[in-house]
Amino acid sequence: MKKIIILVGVISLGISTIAQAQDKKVTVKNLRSSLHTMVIESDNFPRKEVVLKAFNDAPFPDKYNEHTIGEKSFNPVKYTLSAEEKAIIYKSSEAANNAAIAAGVKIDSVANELPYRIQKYLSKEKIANKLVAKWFNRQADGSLDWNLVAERGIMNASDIETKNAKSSSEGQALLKNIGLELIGNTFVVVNKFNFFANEPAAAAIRDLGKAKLAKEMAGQPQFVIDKLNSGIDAAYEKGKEGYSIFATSYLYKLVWNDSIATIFYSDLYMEKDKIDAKKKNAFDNSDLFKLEFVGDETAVGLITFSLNEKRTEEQIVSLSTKRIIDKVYAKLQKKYDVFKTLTELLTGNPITAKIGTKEGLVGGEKFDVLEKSEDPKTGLPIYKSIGTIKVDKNLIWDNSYNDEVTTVTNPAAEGQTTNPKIEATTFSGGKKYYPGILIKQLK
Amino acid sequence: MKNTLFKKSLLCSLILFFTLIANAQSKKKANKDTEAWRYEIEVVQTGTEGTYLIKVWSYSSKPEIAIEQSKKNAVHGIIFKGLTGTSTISGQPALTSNANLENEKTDFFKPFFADGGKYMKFVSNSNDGAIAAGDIMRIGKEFKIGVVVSVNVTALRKELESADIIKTLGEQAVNKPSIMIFPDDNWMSANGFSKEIDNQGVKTLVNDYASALLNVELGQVITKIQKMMLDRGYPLENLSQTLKAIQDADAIKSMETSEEGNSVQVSLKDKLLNSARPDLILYVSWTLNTLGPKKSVYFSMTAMDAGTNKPAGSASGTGNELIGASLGVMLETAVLSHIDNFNDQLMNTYFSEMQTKGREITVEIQVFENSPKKINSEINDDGDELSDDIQKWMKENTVNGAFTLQTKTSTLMRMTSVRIPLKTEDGTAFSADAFGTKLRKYMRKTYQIPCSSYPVGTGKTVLVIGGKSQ
Repeated sequence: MKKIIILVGVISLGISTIAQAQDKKVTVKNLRSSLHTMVIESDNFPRKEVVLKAFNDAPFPDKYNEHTIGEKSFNPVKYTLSAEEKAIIYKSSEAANNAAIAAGVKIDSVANELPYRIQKYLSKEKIANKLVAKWFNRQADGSLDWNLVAERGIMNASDIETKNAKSSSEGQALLKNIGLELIGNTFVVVNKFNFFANEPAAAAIRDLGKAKLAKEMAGQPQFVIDKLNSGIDAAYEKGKEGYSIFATSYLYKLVWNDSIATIFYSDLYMEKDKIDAKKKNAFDNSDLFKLEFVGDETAVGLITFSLNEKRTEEQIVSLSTKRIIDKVYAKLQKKYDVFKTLTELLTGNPITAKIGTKEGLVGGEKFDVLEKSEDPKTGLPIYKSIGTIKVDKNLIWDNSYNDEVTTVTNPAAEGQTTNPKIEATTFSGGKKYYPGILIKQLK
Repeated sequence: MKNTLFKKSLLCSLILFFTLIANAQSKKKANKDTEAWRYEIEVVQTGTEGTYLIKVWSYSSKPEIAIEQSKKNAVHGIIFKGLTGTSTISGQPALTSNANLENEKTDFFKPFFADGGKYMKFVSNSNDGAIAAGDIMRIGKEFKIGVVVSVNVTALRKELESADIIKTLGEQAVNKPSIMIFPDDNWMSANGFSKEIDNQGVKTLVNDYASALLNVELGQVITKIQKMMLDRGYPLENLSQTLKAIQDADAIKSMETSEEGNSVQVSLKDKLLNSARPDLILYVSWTLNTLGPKKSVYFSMTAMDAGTNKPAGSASGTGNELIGASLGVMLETAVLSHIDNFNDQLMNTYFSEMQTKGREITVEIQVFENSPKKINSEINDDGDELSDDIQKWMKENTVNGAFTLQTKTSTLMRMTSVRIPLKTEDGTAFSADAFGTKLRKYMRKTYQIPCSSYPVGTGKTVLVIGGKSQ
């Protein structure tokens, strides 16, 4: 345990040099994030194939755009750090380094260097270029188009934006343009799963317990000691089954701003009718696109097998993997504002808002109600929380397709059950709210 | 039991009473704000044809009331304030430039803006009254609320015109000047519709309008502008039809022959203008800007007085950078975005100046070779020359005696910036040609010399004294 704490300390100190502070500015526009999720390969965890399959088959959360670029896993062993790179890492955390050495932790290890090795992989394999290529549907000849950007723009458009667009001369093109704002919300989530068989831990606890018992109960009648030992054995029998699963997710964000976009559009962008070999080559080799480390999150799960279990061990491992992935998403959403759904109330009584299944609502989600007011000192707008509301699971709007436009397929037509009467999601939580007030998802 | 029921009823009645009172007070306060026209408006996007899409910021202690008041404020803003534009969306002029109009026409505007008044016919919430996040802010005890509304400006303008509250554009123009729309020379050149020819040793660019008119977008732009100008009371001379007409060989031949019977080189544009004789030439042009997947259109329209070749109005700007918008949609948006500003300039600058200063033309007086009188011939014992009498006549027959003598020789007199009245005494339209005829008759009556006069375009008249032209 001591080793683990020190190890975490070493990693944390290292990461702190590249982690970025979260933007605390309140934004009022909901921009869907686009995620590419990956898993780190390693040879030393049980049921590796089952876990990888479960990871790849796990349903993608509705509230995000799936931005898979093909490569779903990689082995960090292949991405070794140079002596110079190592010098930078270990120099920056010399104290922790010494502490780790003192504790007997092997510093020069894949686990220790993981965030850097991930960064190396992302850079070497030009993952950022591939993410941009995906946004613009890059073809073998290097040609790009804006269809996916436009489709996601329409998908992201709020009800108000859609209706305003209908009243404007440029119509749907205004909604398509929203897609360009989404590119900056492109993330790579790199998951690392650690599986530990529960038996060794359970045995250690059992042995520790028995030793302690023997010491503390010395002189007591044997039948009492035997009874207590049998209790410890029962606990061991129960706890030795299955595995503990630790999932650590490293979050990286595509660096995208006006100047990068302008260089990309000017120097690298070409459409089918204007193929230019030089531009194709320039895109392939460009270092314009980068991913920056945002932070990491860890979730823990337990995989147990009981005699009464009707599912196979494989099914249980698979299910547990999916659950831990969900946990990770939930933690990321809780920690980072960019993943929290933002919108305005349509009505205050009843409390309704034009969000629904598209934003991943299933019922029970809590939202902070933020009132905008004028700071009496500065005259600038400020947002203040004035309450919390909760999604009514029976009154969720199915907005998974945009009925104002035609480019997105209608899942309802493919057999999903929807309630056509619900045109906004209803919340519970009071009567003091009013139309237009901002709500932000809490968890 | 009976007593309990009575208490409950009384309580309900009291709650209802106070709720009504509270609502009435909020409404009253909102109306008070509306009476003071306490609001701000801003452009949101270019609206669909005939509409403006705007955001109105109103104030109220109750959001629901502000939403309703915003409609009233929107219509008021369109009539009296106009809209400030953004870098990519054109602002719009107010329907009236008369700052005092509301007070002058109280009888009309009071019922018009009353609760449930006629203003409601011209405005709608573009998104069912929903308010976007960030568009509602508490300031002390009240809210400042931004609501997006669509105002049917075409219908509103017509309503105000028919009620004689504002003038129609045609009315302002008096003789309803006709307009002919041309693609400008830069557009013609950039789109490959002009070619260089050797005109008697001089290289000149010649525009191929017949081919240009086959350009889909140009046709679309001309049609859209024609429709919108016709809606505002302007007669249009159709470039395409005129072009077809002058392609008739005889018509071309007749125009290529001068009064003296010599063959001269006349450009196609001059032929078109001579044939259609519009008062204003409206040049349109656009450039498609591309940055990666984003496209935007720079659009410009410039009106020139066909007679003087002086600018009469212009509007231009670059629209939104968009992905997935067709050029047709972007051009239509550009026309919709700029047309009202353009018309506003015609109305409040060009025609307004014309109303007060008269129509500007050029008068040229030539002398026939065998004429008994020349420009410098003495006409009386005081030593006055014919030119002196002509100048005296010009002073008496122009608005405020305005004209500039540009050239004076024994055989040629050219006067520019000649301001002639818009109407004759009987109220009919007065043209450059009619002005030339009037001068011709004066010369004939006063000096008994044969004269002839003819117009050149709509802004110039030529008088030939001492003989009749062929």
